[in-house]
Amino acid sequence: MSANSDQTKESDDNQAMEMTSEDSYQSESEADSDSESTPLQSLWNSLRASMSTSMFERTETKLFLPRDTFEQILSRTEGGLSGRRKLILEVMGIESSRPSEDDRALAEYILDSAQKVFLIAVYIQLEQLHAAMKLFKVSQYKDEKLPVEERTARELDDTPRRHEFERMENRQRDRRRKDRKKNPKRIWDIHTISKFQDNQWTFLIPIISAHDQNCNFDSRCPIPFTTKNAQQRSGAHGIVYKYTIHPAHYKNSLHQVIHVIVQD
Amino acid sequence: MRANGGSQYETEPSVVAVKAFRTGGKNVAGDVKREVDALAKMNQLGQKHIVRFITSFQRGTQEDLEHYVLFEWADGGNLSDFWHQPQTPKRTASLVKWVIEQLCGLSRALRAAHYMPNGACYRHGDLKPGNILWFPDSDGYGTLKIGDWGEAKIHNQVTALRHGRVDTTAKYGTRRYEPPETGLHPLLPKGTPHVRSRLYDLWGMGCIILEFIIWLLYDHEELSRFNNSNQGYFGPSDMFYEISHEISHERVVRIHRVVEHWMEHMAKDGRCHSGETALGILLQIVRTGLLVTKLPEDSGPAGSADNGMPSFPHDDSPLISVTTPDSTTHEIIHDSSPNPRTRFPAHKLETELLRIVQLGGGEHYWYRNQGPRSAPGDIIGMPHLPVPTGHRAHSDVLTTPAIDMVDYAHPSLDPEEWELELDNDFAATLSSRLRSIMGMSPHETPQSAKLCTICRDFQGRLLDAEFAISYATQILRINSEAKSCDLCYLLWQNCRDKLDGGCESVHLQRTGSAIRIRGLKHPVLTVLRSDGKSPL
Repeated sequence: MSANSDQTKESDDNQAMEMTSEDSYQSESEADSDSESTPLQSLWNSLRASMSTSMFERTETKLFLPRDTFEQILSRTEGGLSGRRKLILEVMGIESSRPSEDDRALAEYILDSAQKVFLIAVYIQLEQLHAAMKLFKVSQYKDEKLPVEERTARELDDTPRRHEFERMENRQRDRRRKDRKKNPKRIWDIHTISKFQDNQWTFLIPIISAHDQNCNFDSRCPIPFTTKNAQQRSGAHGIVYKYTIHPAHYKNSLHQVIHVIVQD
Repeated sequence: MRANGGSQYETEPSVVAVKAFRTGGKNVAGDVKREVDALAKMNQLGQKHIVRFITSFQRGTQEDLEHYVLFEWADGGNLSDFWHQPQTPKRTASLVKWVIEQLCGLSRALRAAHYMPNGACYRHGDLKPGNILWFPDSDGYGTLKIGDWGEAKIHNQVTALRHGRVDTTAKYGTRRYEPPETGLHPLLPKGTPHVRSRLYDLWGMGCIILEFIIWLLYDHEELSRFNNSNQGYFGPSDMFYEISHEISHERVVRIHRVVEHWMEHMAKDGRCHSGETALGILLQIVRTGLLVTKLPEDSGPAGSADNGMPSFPHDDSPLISVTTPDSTTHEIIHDSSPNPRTRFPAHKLETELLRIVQLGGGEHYWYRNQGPRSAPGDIIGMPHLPVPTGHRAHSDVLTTPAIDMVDYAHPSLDPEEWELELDNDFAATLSSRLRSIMGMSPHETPQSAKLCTICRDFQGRLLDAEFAISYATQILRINSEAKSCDLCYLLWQNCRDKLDGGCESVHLQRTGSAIRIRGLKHPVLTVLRSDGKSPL
C-alpha cells in the first residue's frame, strides 16, 4: 500500500476536474442503451455504474471502483471460467466461439493477473484494446506493477518514448521489424498514456486495515470513505471527523475476538 | 435526542473516527508517531474502557505529509455530551451503580496504562470530560472510555516518580484539569526537569468524578454553574486548585475555595452521606485521595498507600508550601501538616471504587430519593465562607489575594511578527462567561465622547470598506494633551511610540476590526462590536 512519493503529481484540483469529467468518454444516451451496446460498451457501463464517490475531505468527489465490484463485473456472465474468458475476449472484439490458443492464454492472463490493467484500459476506452493487452502480456506487465510511472504532460510531450509503455511498445515494434511485419498504429502516445495514468487511481484503492498501520497513500488516490458526517470534534492536535469506510476496503480487528489475558 | 438505549446509537462496523493532525507545525510527525505508539500499546492492554485505535495512514509527499489516525467512533460524543443530553436520565440506583462501574472501569484502564506488564508506564496527560468518550448501547447507559492519548508519554518508572517535578510541555492541553504540580513548576528553581508523573492523571480523574457527582446530585445547569464559578474571582484560576501568598516567601497550594465550598455542601446532602451511600463514599475518595495536592514520596505499583479503605478524618485539605525562587532557602516542597494525605495512585483508586461496588446494599445505598436539595450558592459576597485549610488563618480570603499562577507570559517575540487572527467565537464565549459571573457585559456602552472635527469624520466613515484617515501629528498631540478630544487622546496614547521622530502626519487605515498605522502590521486599535451584532 505504499506509493511512489517522488513521482510528479498533478494538483488535486486538476484531478478532480478530470475525474468528474469522465462522462465525456461516453454520452448518457449511450450509457442508457445497455441492451443494444457492444460488450465493450456494456462493460464500460457496468464500471461506471459501480463507481463510488470518495467523501474524504482531501479527495472529495473523486470516483473509485470498489474492489468487490471487480469480481462482480467479471463474473456476471454464466459459465464460470469459460464464461469470464468469453466476456474478456468479446470486450476485446475477438470472436469468442473459436478463440485461438494465444487469445485463450491472453484472456487467462488478464483474469489471473491483469484485471485492473484491463479494466483501466476499458475505462479509458483505449482504441486498440486487444493489441494493448497483448503488449502487456508480452511485457509481463501485471496489476502488481501499478501505479504506472507518472509523467506530466510537458514531460510526455518532450520525451514520450521514455515512458514505460512507450518503451514496451518500441521493443515490440523492433521485434516486428525483424520479422518484417508491418508496423501498426501506435497504441501509446501522450494522450493514451495521460488517460491511463490519470484514471488508474480510480482502480487502485487501498484497504484500510487494522493490521497495516502507518501506510502511505498517494495523494492522488481516492480514500474509500463513502460518507462524511457533519459531526466533528476538535482535539488537542487536530480535528476528528466521522466517516464510513466502504466495507470492501475495510479490514477491522475491532470486532474480532481479542485474546488478551488481563490479571485484575 | 440523546436517550440511553435505542437503535439510533447502533454504530455500523465501518463507521470510524478519523483524526486529522494539523499540518505545518513543528515535529508533527514526531507527535503522530508518539501518539500512534501510545495507541498501539493501549490496544494491547485489551481494556474495555480505552477507546480502540484502528489504524493510521499518511498521504502526500515526505515534504508535505498529512497524518490521520482512525478510532472506533463514539456515537454519544464525550462525557460532557452525556451530561448535557436533552433528556437527562432519571436519577435512580441503577444509574448511580452504572456510574460507579464506569468509574471503576476507567480507573482499571488507567491503572493498566500506568503499570504496563513490561514495567513501562503510559500516562494520559490530558484527562478531562472531553476525553472520556461515550459509547451508548441499546440496553443500558453504554460505556465510557478514555480517548485522545495525544498527550500520552511513556517513561520508565524511575523517572516517572520523581517527586514534585512536573512536565509542562503539553502544548494544547486544557488547563482546567491540570494538577497543582503544573502551577508550581514556575516557582521551582530554574533548571528543574519537566517530568509529568502518573499522579497527574489522578488529579484529572478527581476533577471528572467531582463533576459527575455534581451532575448526579443536581443537573447539568448546576454543573455549568460550578464550572464557571471559580473563574475570575480569586484571580485567574480556572483550575481546581489555587496558589496564594501566605507568609513571606511562601506560597500555599490548596484546593480552590469554590471547589471546596461545593464539596463541603454536597457532603452534607443526605444522598451523599459518607460511609452510608455510594455517592458519599465516592465524594470522600475525591476529597481524600484525588483532589489532594500532596504527592506520595513513592507511588510505585505497590505504593506506600495501604490497600485498605482510606480513613476519612474530617479534617481539611492538606497544604503544600513552596518557597519562592528568590528565597534564600531552596527547599522545594514540604508538608505543612503532620500527617498529610497523599494522592492515590491508579491501583488504589481502582481498589476503592471496587469497594463501593462490593459494599453495595439496597436501593438506598446507591441512591436516596429524598427530593432535590439545592446546590451550593455562589460564594461571592459571602464574607465568612469557611476556609477549608483550617490550620492557617486566612483573614484575607475574600479580598482578592495576590496569586501567582501558572506562568502565562508570552515568549519574547517581536509583535510585528505575530499573526493576528479574528476570533469572534472566542470573544462571544468569553463575554458570555463574564456576563454570567459578573452579571454585566464586559464592554458596556460608554458615555458619549468628546470628538474633534476629524474624529467625527473618523466615526462617520469607520465602517466604510476602505476606511483610511490622516491626522497631523501635532494636532493629535495637542488635542490629546488638552484632552479636548477623547479619540485623539486614545490614538495618541497608542500611536506616539510607533511614530518616527519628525513624522508630520499619521495615516490610519482599517482592515477588518484592526486600525493600523499605514505600513505597520500590529494594530493600534481594535474595533469592537456589541454581542449579537454582525462582525465588520
